[in-house]
Amino acid sequence: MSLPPLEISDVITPGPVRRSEAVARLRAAGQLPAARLVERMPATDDVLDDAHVVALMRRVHAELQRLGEELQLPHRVAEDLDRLRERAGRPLRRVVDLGCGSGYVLRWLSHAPSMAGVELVGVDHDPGLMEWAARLGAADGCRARFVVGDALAPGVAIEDPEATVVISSGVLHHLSAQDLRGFFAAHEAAGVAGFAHYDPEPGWLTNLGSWVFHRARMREAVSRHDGNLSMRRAHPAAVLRDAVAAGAPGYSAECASGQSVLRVLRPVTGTKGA
Amino acid sequence: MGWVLALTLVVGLDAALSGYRAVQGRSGRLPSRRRDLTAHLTGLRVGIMLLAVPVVLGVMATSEAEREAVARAGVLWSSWLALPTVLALLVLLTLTWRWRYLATALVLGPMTWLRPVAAVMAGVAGAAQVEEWPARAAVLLTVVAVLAVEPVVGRVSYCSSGERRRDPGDLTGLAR
Repeated sequence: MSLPPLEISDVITPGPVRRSEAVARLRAAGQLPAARLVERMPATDDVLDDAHVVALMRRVHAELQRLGEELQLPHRVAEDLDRLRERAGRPLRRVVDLGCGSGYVLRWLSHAPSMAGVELVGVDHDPGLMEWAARLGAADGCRARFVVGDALAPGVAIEDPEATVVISSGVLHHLSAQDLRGFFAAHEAAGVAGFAHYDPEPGWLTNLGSWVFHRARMREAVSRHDGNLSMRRAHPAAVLRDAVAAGAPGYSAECASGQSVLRVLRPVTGTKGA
Repeated sequence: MGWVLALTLVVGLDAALSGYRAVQGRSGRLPSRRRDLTAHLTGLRVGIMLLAVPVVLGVMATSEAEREAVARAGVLWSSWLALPTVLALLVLLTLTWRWRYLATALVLGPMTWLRPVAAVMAGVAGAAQVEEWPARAAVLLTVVAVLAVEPVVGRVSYCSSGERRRDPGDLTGLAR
């Protein structure tokens, strides 16, 4: 029996990664084309070339950012943050973007009038991406800052939880259904005011749209592979709502069911004590 | 002359959009109108360079009536893609982000994917309007040139020396 499918980016990071082990993991999951892609990546003494992987991940995230631009993701996040702020009934002082990648959403938000005075902190486990996000932020004149680590861990990005909202895009499908409960429980433990995590609703329409857009827009084979796979790995709205109810019962959760061309990425939102 | 002018506009617009697409998703920078304009103009410039040879060859190998017929076929056979694209571009330029999203999701994304089909259909229909092989070759070379604009702009801008693809982490040399 094959193991659950893996995204290449999850297999080749964080470094150092042995190429033979990455290839073996993909083969064991029955992903032979993905295994061939990794086989062709440069390595020294079987360890994947770090500079190559860092540059590849940046290219993948640059392409992902383009998709985010076309999906109007930052506009949607800004709108949902306003809604969360209203529902929470208290001022919003910080937005933490968990697994922020290139930091696109925060860099965009830093120019949004509705986010004036709100601190923007991006967190990712990949130091190469965080260093790049910080330089992009400086080049784009943004006030967001970027740190390496676990966004929900104490002392990393959350200082005043009652005034902090945690967001993410394209992160939830990296977690198994079993791990979702713990993920939302970490929000409750941190005590944040709310959260909005964006991911696609799985289904045939999502898969079709994803396939067309990845063929039309993505140049990197890794982007196409991981992008299409992520749509299939996404969790249905009901699973997300149940995970919030089980892991973070102190939060009122919302997540729209059903596929819609009107919202490819839909958030699961939670408001503390609402 | 009317159909030739119309085809010139369609091909020019396509080259500009190809230049734009070629640089999207490369640098990670926030969108900038200035960089977008530069990308459009680069596409147009590269398009003119690539199309110069087939156009000159075509002008030499065809009569004015044949050129009108070729252009008419090219415009009509690509209109199923060109007209919705122009409409979507008008939406992008004038309406709010929700409409811009719909224009991209429903028209521009799928149409980009189908663009080579439209170009080949227009080329085959155009080539069928002439009888001499040099003229047909010129029409088909035009199709190749149209489809080559995006990869050429991408290659020139982001794959310098052809040895290693440019690392988006290198922000030097990017227009402000």
